[in-house]
Amino acid sequence: MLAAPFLTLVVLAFVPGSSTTSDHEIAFGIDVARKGLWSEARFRFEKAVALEPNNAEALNNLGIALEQQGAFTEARAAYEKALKLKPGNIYIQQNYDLFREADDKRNRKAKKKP
Amino acid sequence: MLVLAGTSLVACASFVEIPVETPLQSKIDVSAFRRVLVAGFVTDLGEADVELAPETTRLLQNQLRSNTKLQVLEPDRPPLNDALEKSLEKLGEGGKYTKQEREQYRLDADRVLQDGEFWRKVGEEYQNPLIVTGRVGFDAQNRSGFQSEERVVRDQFNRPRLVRGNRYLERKGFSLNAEFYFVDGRTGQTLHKEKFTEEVLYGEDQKVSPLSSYFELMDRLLPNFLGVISPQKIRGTRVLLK
Repeated sequence: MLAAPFLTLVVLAFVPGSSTTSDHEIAFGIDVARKGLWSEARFRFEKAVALEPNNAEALNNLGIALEQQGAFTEARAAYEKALKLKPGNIYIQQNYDLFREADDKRNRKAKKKP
Repeated sequence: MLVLAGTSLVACASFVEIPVETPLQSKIDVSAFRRVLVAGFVTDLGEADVELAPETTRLLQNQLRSNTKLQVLEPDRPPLNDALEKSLEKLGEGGKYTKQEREQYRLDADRVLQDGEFWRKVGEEYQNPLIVTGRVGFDAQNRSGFQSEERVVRDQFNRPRLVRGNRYLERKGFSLNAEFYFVDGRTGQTLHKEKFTEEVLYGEDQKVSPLSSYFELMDRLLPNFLGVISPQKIRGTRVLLK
């Protein structure tokens, strides 16, 4: 009996524009990122950060979207701010470590350039 | 109730693992070129298990065709062969070469690889392509020997016991050494050169032909080769947080 209203609530939470809270922007950003729509995901995560600048989850997700799009300097800044806000978060730490590993690879390549 | 429980689980999960592909720029900018010429490769003199130069030329032509936008030129004869043949004419008797002759050939070949004027002329002949050339070596490796190992044995009361010992292991394989030159066909200048080394070893029960092994090693090396001239992707996973 409870299932129908609960499902409706969950679905409503993923409808863009139905709310302006950072949580809704994050949820929609994740939804589109899973479909590979990274530009839209970046826009949503940026919006979430604008709404709530100290939201570590939003900053972490923004870091991923920026990294995926090749904006490495901005991605680093987003990850670092997220970690500063939630230093013990293993997921953010893991993302940041993987980012740095890939970034080192890129920098080594760039240094070798003639 | 089941629907509710399932939905709650989805709603409660606070993270989503997601695959990402981050861009990795090419080492050299080849946007000024419309064509690429694989001009042949220097190999060591003597008998070989694999016809390295033609196999490498063919393989790279195929890879460049499917992984870049460059038009791949296919000359009847790789230009480097003609140049190397001149120095070969002076060497060898009945296909056999002395150590000195091999060294002489190596020096001559290095001279050709670094001869900007030679490559400029080749470039002129083929309408200023990006030229790929270099040196390739493929050698058998034998790493057989004693290796320490630990194994569990059971005593008379069927109790397990760890025993340390040495065992002779036959491990043979091949190594591939390649040095690729990327030459500007307009000027003859080397834009980039890079060495790659790969090795594979097989156990005694594995019978792998030299040609199969060569392709296995080239397969490992190819992403790095292509990364010199075309952007690559670093694949990984990240965790999105709700």
